[in-house]
Amino acid sequence: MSDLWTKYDAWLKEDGPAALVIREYLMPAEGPDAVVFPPTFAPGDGFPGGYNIDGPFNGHPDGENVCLIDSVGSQANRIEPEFSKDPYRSLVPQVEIQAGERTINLLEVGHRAGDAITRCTELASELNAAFKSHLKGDDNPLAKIAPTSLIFGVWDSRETQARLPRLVGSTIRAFNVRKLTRGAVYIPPADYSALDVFDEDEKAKAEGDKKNPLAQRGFVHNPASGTLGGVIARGGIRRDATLNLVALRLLKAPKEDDSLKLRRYILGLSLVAFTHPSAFIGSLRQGCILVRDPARKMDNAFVAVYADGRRVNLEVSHEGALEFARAAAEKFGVGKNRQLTFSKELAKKDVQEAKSKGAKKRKGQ
Amino acid sequence: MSTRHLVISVTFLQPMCHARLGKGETAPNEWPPSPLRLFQAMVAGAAARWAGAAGPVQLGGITLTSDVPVAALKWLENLCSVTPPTIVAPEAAPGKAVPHYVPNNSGDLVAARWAKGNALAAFEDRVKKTFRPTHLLGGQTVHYLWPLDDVREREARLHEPAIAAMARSIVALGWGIDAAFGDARIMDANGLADLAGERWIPGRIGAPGLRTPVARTLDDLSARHGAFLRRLQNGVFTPVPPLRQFATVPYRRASDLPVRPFAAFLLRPPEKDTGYAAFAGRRATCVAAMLRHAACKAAQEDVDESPDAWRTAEWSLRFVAGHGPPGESKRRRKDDNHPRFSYLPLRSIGHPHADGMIRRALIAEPFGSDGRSARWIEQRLAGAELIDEHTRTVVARLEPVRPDDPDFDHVFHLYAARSEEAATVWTSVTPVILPGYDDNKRAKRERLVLECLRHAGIDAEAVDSVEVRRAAWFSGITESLSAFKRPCYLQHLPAWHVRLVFRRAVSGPLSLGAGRHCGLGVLARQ
Repeated sequence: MSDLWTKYDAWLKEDGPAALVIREYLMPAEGPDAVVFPPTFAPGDGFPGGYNIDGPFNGHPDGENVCLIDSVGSQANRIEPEFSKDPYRSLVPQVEIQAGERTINLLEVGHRAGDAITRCTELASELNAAFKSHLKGDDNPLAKIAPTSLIFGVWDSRETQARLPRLVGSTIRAFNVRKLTRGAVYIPPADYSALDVFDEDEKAKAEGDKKNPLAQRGFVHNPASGTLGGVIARGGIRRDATLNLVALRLLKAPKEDDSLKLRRYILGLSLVAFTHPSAFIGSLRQGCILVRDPARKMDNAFVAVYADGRRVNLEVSHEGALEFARAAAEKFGVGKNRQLTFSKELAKKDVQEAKSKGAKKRKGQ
Repeated sequence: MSTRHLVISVTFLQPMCHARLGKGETAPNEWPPSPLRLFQAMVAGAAARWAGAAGPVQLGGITLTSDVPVAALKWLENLCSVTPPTIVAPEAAPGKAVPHYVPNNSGDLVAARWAKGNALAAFEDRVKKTFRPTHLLGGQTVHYLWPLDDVREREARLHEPAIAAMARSIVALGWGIDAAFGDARIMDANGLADLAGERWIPGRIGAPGLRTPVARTLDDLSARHGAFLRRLQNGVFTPVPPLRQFATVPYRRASDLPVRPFAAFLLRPPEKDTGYAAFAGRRATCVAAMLRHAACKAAQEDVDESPDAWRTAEWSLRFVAGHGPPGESKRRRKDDNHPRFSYLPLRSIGHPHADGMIRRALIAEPFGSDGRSARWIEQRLAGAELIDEHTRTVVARLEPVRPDDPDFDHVFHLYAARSEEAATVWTSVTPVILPGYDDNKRAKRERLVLECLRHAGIDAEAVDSVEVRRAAWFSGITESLSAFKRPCYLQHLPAWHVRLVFRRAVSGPLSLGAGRHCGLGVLARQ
């Protein structure tokens, strides 16, 4: 056990690395030259809608353009709920909120411990106190309730305004991509004009007009051409993940010994999240199943980066990280699991208080 | 030159930064990250490190109390207000603005619908957040450099441990997703050469400027943070006042040329409003001399001796006429780089049938000047006559033309390009006179061309390559180098045609060499 502490405690010291970095090359499950479907974004602000492809760039080390395959936020949303499953669920407190017939785990809630949903449960005052403790330099209370909020970052935007930075960030990008388009035609199962549902003129008018009710209801042929058809990543697909050890070392408890236990605990969880294959293995979305690229195995990197620029190769397996996380969690003492009920009364009271205080403020003005 | 520098370095963990120059969705990207942004990141780091610390904090064998970082930050903000840092940053390019729709923090409303029995209610309340990253193309580290004199160095040594501790507490620079880490040290000049990236120089006119801390920035940040924490106290929203204590300093890449103000003229025949008075290309110095004569005459008539005046007798002699300091020889010394007008006759080029004759002219201020002298001469020389030195007859009349006029035609644009026409390759149209003997040796010639660049106010970092040869690159220019008339003081010096390839597109006007103020060494874009 002491070897385990020695190995990881070196990263928690002031002269330890500033960050751990993983660079891992991926490819579509069908093969490196297969089409992969990136996420699409709505139009706006001059963006026509579609894939987020930046470039062309002159001098980009990875190719002439960069396509976003999975953002920091999406990656976090894929990894965090893994802590509600075996064998990780014992590492963190399981806080479940019951509202009507629905039950939601705090690990699945968008704003983590700062989410407004927690304000209408019996956890509200405890979380408020935990955020206030953070502002005073004690992160232990929050780690006992929602440790993943310390890993993926949190902002208590509805109450204390306390913010904790993200420790683990992961993004998947494709490089040097060629964008494809595709065309398709919807063919109705019967010729409805022949069945006297409408006449030939109406049919001719409706075909190809997506806004026409006949086309929308599937009564006529409906072609769709030039739609998004995925990309071919000629420069490869890469997952870049970082674990910010500087931010981790800023977590603290009132006593030095407790600070060490807290940092070990969060480091263990971070390493589990950081190395978890759920972030990229499997289906990210329809048409985007990624696996590791065996041909570029030698280009993969797992390094510790120091403030003076040194980069030291590391070997940390997911199993090794899990072993350390278990040991650190045991020493720290994982917070208790909770079953909470969403309280309509608390919600009403919250809204009422906000209204009355707003009115008082207006009156005061 | 200072030999020691305080260097604070910040390394991004991902090759991008989302910092913006303002709050709005359309605000342009901020690159490099401003000194104020660095300062804020250090303040946040210090606050996180020292939060709740009752006693001293041990860092790498050094004990720091909470007074120490405050004193160091106060010293740093004063240093910034006196000497804004030079920034060495990787080359970068902005990405597209892409709107993301992120969940609003209103889970309580969704849960209330669930509690009412609507189990299908979803987190639909989303807010738009526009992402437009700056992609880092050549490295991920940004360095901030402050030169230190002896006094500053002693002070810096005193604050170095605290500054280093705060730099090493930086967790992000830009948005929260722009994770980064920092470091700080005092370096000598030799170490600076190893810092990779583009140099951004403060105080050189460029747009837009970067925010830098000044005295009391720390106090203002502290007050703003307090107001931010209280903005929703008791459920009542109180707007957070904006940060007011900062300065905006113009920054420009060392490889970018500053703007060079100029006045443009058409050379009209003396008695006509149309057509051109044309002069042989080899007589460029004669046309420049006539322009200079007209300008000197106007300046002498316009000398203003009131206390706040800028058109002084000295300005007339030194800036307009190009003479040496009062009381010395009219001829300038080689190292006298006092600003002055350059008189640049422009040859008609850029068309297969162009004859290389002179029909237009520019009078240009030095790079980075304020432009008031150019504005003055444009107004003052409207309709002025050019008088031949030998015949004493009027040979042309000057008609000013603005860059947005239709008469500011294709030929003008070859010498003074619009921003969208800016080019990286510029070649000489009249010979460049080297400022010394090259002994017909290539290495010596190249060194002299570099000296020409320095004299002309062009940073050598801005130039990617230089080519020198006897023949001009433009097809219509056929005169031999010796055919060009030169003033006596330039006749003994070697002349060459020069081709410059800049790292970034430049707009001009450009003139190079010992004859750069009198019509020789005028460059056009290719």
